[in-house]
Amino acid sequence: MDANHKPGRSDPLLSTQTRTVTRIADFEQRYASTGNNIGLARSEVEVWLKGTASTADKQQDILLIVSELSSNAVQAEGPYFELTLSHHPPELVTIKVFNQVSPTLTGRRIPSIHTRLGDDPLSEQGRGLSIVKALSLSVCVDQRLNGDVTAEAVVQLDKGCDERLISGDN
Amino acid sequence: MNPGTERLRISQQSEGAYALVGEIDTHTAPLISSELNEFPEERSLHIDLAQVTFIDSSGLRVLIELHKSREAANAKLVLEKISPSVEKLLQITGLTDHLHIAE
Repeated sequence: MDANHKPGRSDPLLSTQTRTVTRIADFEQRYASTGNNIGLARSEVEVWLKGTASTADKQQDILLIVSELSSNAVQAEGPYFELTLSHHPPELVTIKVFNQVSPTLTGRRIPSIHTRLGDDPLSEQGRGLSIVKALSLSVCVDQRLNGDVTAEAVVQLDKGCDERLISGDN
Repeated sequence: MNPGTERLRISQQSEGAYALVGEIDTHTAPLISSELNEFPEERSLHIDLAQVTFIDSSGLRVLIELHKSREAANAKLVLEKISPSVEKLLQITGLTDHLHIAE
């Protein structure tokens, strides 16, 4: 064999296995703002995640993000929160939580995304969004003038989801 | 029945030693506070986390509260057999260097 041989995609020396990941329908659900529904939301998202071909580790990350954002929504004491997950194959999942804020909490400031996890590890407050930030490509929290909040995180799945394997085996 | 008990179970293994089984979040974390805070602060507390399948920042908060109350009383909170999900969260929050974790 020529030592300078550089195999191309159609080279007979290579076998290519490709698994195409198709996009699945969005997860969209509205929940009454109760603590127990946070666990319910995680259970239902866990089922949806099976269709994303993501690794178990990434699924756990996404469930943690769902839990953190949903917890913040429940703390706003509105009537409900809306949870939406979208899969953008092969590698991205967006997680969005919308909630209204109880009128009794007017003036409540939304949790800050600027808290750094290392600043005060033993602080008893304020690490939820920082955890989301650590697990995400990006996090955005938007509060409207009426107090309604939308929090959105984008997660990159492991590159293994686009399983394009090139092996040297014949 | 408290719906929270469906997702989390707390069992006492011996005096000062408890095992948590299931999920720790904002809904179930208060169960840990209410039960474990009955144990005297001046005595060390051991918590087996091997069967914790999920934990979020609410769970961390209650563990930190228990840790601080015991440190203030010259005792310890010792976390044992931490599950992978617990370990990962402790690592990303920088708490592995601040809590007592048994190998």
